[in-house]
Amino acid sequence: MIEILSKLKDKLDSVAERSVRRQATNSGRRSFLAKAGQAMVGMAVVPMLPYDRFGEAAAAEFEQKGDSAFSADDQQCDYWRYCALSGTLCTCCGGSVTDCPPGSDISKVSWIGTCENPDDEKSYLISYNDCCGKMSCNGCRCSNHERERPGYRLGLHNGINWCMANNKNAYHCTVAAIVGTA
Amino acid sequence: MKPITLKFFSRALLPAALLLSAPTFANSNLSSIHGIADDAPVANKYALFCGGCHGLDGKGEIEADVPMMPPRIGAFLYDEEGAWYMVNVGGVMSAGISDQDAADIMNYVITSFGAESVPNSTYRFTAEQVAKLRENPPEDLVKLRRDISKRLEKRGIALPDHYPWN
Repeated sequence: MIEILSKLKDKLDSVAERSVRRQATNSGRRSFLAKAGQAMVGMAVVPMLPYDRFGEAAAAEFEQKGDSAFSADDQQCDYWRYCALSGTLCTCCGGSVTDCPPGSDISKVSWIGTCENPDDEKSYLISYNDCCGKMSCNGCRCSNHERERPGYRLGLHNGINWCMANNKNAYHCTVAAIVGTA
Repeated sequence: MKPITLKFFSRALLPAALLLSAPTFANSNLSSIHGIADDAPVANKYALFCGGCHGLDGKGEIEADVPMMPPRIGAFLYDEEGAWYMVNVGGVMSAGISDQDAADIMNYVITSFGAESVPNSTYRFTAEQVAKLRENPPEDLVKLRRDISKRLEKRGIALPDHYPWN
């Protein structure tokens, strides 16, 4: 009986040893680190997708700063071109109303809405392009939704990461360019 | 391990959303809902309703599975089912625009982006035609496009490049 158990133990030992040796030959610590790194990066990327990009509560707090109906300050959420902008203002991140900050690229697709300019009381077509390829800017966050529609009306939805069609998908901030009159 | 990439989402979600959207507001009043005047220039309506994805130049974005329209978008009209296909594609149906606006925008598209490709330069979509073509949408748009493409290919007529589901 003891002999049988001893043989079984030896067998188990050799199986375990072969298995460990095979694993050690075929993979290394670097392989594990690479896979763990991919997993961690994956986990970091997933939350960026594709809805509710940047805390609406924080955006709402920032919104309170402006005290006029329409601000002329393009670093404020109530600046007229931002009537349907949800995200971070590029004007607070080293860019302008129409230009992305250095190191980020303009999104290839966008959503286009209309806003009324209080100066001439005319409506303009505004293209909300995201700036892509840099991690999120912690500047002014806005949550405006004029004439926005839910996500199933994709072309009228501003909660989406419009960097999705770019090679570098990280969202940085949003610009608001006039592309015509309404 | 291959991590899930954003590319997957751009390839899967954007076209799916464009294709599956329902024609909720087919004949609603544009000025109140979208903030654009009913009599606004058709180029502006194209920009508002289509330009975000298709681009103001109509070239789309192949990386996002938005097909290119110029210069051959008008070639669809060589096929008897071409107009049916065009007014029922996801972008037109999900834009939430009236039959009249859809007709006007389709005419803008074929004259601005495909003037050299149409079989007949005087061809124009009408609101009545759009309404009728929308009554029975194709069951499978991708299959319909493939069928049209095959029929036209036999006649030596090419459709626009960069169709993602060829």
